[in-house]
Amino acid sequence: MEKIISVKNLRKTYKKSNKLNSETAVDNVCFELTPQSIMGLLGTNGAGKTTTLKMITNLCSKDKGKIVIDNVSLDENPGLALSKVGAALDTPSFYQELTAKENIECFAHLYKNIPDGQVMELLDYVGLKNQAEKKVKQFSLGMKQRLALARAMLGQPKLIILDEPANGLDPQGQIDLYRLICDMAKERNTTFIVSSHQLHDMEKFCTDILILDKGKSILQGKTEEILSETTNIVDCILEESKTAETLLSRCQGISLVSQKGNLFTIRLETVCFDEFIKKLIANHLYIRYLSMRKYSLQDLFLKLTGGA
Amino acid sequence: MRPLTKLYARKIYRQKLIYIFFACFFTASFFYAFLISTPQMEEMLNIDIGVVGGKNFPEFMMRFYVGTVGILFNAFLLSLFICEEDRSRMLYQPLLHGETRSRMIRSKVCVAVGMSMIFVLLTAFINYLTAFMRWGYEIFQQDACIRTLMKYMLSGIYMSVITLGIVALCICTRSAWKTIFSVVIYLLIDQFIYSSNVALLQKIWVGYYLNLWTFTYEYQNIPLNRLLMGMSIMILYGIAFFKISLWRTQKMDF
Repeated sequence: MEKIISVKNLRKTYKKSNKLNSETAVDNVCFELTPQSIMGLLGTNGAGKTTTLKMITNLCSKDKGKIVIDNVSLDENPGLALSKVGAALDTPSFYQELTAKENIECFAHLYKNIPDGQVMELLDYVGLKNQAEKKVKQFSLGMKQRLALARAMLGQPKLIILDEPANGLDPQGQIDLYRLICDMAKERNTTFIVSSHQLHDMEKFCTDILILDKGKSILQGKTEEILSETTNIVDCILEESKTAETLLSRCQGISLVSQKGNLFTIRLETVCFDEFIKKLIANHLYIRYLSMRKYSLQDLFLKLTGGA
Repeated sequence: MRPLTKLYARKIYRQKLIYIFFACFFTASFFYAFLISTPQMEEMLNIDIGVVGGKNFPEFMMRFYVGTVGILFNAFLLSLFICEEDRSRMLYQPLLHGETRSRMIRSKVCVAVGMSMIFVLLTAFINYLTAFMRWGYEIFQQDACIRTLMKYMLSGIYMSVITLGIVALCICTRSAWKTIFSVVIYLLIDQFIYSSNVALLQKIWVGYYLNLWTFTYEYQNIPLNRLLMGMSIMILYGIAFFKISLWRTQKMDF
């Protein structure tokens, strides 16, 4: 199958301030993406997400590893490889004194074959057509995020990299942005790598997931597969917490995720929900509250990264 | 001109600081020409009007710009142009749109050096204008005029080399304040070396030749050997600064 990007054994270390020790920011990260994929790059702060994205865009040198973008090696032909990539990294930055249109035009001039009117078309696409003549210094963060996306779309890249694009957006703005990304992936055959902390949204719109922790890839794959492989979670409030705890910790096919007083969070490994209830009743446990929920990306993320 | 160079040129000439600076410089030049060179002020300030005024006025004023003020002004401007752009994450944006690091720094250098040359031309124009307003056609005496214009040209070369040095500093330190501080230190060392008697150090110090041309040979022609020696050293420094900028840009992590 055609691969838009292939990353192998990516590694980056930074020298610490005392210059004697080094810190590994990214360690042995590998992934591949097919066209129209949207990969969510997740991780706690300092997990190595931005460093990974910067290595892919050649803004940051790598110690080891190979990056191939649309069959072009980044090491061998960086110019050609990066011509297929659009990116919006860090906090969106622009020439503040210029208008939105002028800002995009500045960068449009760097391309050889940008047709007339494409700048306005891009601004229209990201919903900024009416603000085209407004100076960027008057823009809100959300508008800047959209403008950054328009800039990343210049030259119709096959791969767009967005670093926390939903930062500073209101809930509606976030939904609109993610919809826009999904539409672009389908309509323009674009592949996306999006780093974010919005796990709930990422779960919905990402086709692929890569979770980094302390620079290492701890989980990756198709979102559907990852979440279907995982089991259901049951939250229940049981009387006689001591007895319940003993029973639940002995019970096969389930695992006790957490306990706060009488509130137990249990993962159903091999046991189905009905069987679990039967077990509780058979052991004369009084159930005050019971609810089952799907194992979410957030649960998985917290479990893998050791969060609460 | 490459699109990136055009973009940078547009960016730098939008800086209001430039227009404010040259407005101030014009005012200073005007005041020097019309007030300080008057007999009343001459007595007060004990300035030899025969030397600073008339045909020698443009050369006298040139030293104000290329000596200290112009270098500091370039340092401020280039810090904004490179370090502040780096800090605001605009420096690497062209790299995300098909430009290479080498082309990016070449465009920056091209605009910075062009800017420094234009500024020297502009100071020449301002000084000649105010001198003409004060003394009329007297200032266009052939020998003095050719000599002064040549010194402006040499100053332009010196300012270009210093600009290359400031670009290298900006790229290496990536901090506006470190760059400006380093330039101040350079200016202090420059004065020390010029006034010291360490001949070997003077021979290899780029700033020494400007001081030689403008102070030792003030209002006089520069001997050819001094001129060639100075230019060779400046070209060597210029190449070294440019190579350092190019090398450091390739290694830079954004």
